[in-house]
Amino acid sequence: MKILLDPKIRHVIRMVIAMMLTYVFYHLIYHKALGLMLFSTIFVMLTSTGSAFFQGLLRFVLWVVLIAMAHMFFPYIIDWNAIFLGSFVGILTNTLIFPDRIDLAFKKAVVPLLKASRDYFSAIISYLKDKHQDHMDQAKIHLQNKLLLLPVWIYQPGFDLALQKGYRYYFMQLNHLAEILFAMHYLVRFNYDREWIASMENSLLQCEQGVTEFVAAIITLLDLEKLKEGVVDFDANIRDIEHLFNKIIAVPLELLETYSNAKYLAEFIHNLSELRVVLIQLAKALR
Amino acid sequence: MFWPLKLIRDYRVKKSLSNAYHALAMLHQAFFESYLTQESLIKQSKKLYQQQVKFIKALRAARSMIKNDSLVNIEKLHEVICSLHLLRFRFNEFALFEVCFQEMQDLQKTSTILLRKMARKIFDVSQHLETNEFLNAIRAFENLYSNTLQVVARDPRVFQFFIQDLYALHNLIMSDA
Repeated sequence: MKILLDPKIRHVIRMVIAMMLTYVFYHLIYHKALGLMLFSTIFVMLTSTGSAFFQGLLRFVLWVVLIAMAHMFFPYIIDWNAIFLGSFVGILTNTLIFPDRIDLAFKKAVVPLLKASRDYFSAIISYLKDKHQDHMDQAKIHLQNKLLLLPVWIYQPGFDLALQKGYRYYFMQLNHLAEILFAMHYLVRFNYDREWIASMENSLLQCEQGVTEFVAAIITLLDLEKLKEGVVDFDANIRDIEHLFNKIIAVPLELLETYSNAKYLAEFIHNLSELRVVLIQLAKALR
Repeated sequence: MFWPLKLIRDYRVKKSLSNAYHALAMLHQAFFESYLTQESLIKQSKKLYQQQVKFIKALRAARSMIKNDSLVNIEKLHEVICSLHLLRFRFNEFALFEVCFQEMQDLQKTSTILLRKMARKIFDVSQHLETNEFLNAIRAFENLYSNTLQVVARDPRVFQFFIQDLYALHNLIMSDA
C-alpha cells in the first residue's frame, strides 16, 4: 500500500472519487448539466500539494469570473447550480478524502537530494586526492537533477501557515548545501601541493565519513524514527585541517598573494566548516 | 550530413548554449539583487531557486546537444558564481551593506553585462569582451575592503574570499574573450 502514500496517486484517487460523487449527486439530486458539474469538480481540484482548500476556493472564484465574462459576450443560459454543486464536491473531496501528506511529499523530494549531496561531497574529496574528474562531474549532474525536484509548492499561496516558516527555512538550507558543494567543486579544480593534501588526507576522509553519518541521521529523522546512536561530529577533524594549513602557510591569509592557490585552499576549508554547520541546522530543524 | 540539416543543427546547438549563458547571467543578477534589496534569506530563496532551476534546465538542454568538453567553461562560471554569492549567508550586517552598496551595484552591473555579452558572442564571434570595467569595479571593492571593511567587519575573511572569487570570475571571462 506504499503506492497510496505517493502524492500524485492520492491526488488522482481524490479526483476519481470526486467525479463519482458528482455523478451520484447528478443521479440523485440535480439531474441537469452533468458535463458542467464534472468540469467544475475537476477545475477546483487542480491545486498544488498542501493548498487544497485555499487554492480550491481561488479556482472556484476564477471559474465563476470566467463564466460571467463569457456570458457577457455569449449570452446563453448558465446552470449556476451545477457549477456551485460541482465545485463544492470538488473542494470538499480535495480537502477531506485522502488529504495531502505534506510530510511524506516533502521527504520524497528531500531524501534523494541529501543522498546526492553526500555522494557529490565524497566525489569532491576523492578528486582532491586522486584527480579523477569523471566521477565528480557525474555526481554534480546527479545533484543538479535532484535539485530540480525540490518541493517549490511550499511557497504556493494557501500552504499551511503553521508549517510554512519551518519548511521554507529547510528549503533555503538545502539550497545553501547545494551551493556550498558547487563552490567546493570550483575550489578543488586548482592545483595544490600534493604534500599539503597528503598531510590532510586522514582528516579529509574523516570529514567525508562525518558527512555520510550526518546525512544518514537526517534521513532517519525525516522517517520519524529515533537515532539508534549519536552522530560523531567532525568538528575536530576540521580543526586539524585548519591547524595543518596554518602550519604549512607560515603567513596570515591577508598576506598571501591574490593569485596564490593557498587562498583557495583556505576558502575550501572554510566551506567545509560551513557545510558542517548547515548539516547540523538541517538535523536540528527536525527535532 | 545534408547541409541544411547541418545548418539547423548548428543553430540549435548555438541557441542552447546561448540560452544557458543567459540563464546564468539572470542567476548572477538575482544573487546580487538579494544583497541590494536586503530581503530576508527565506524570502529570496524561492526566487533564487527558480533562477537556479532555469539555469540547470538550460544547461541540461545544452548537454543533450553538445559534448561535455565544450561546456566546461560555463560549468566553471556557475561554480564560481555560487561560491561568490555564499557571501549572503556569511554576512548579515545590513548596515555594513550600505557602506559597500555602490561598489556592489557596480560589480553587479559590469559582471552581468559581460555574461550577457558571452551569450551574444556565441552567435557573433567578432564581439570582443571588454573586461576593464569589471576589473576596475573589483579593484574599487578591494580598496573599500582594505580601507574600511577589513576593520569594521566581524569576519573580514569572508570579504577576502568574495574578492578572490571575483578575480577568479574575471579570469574565467577573460579566458573566453
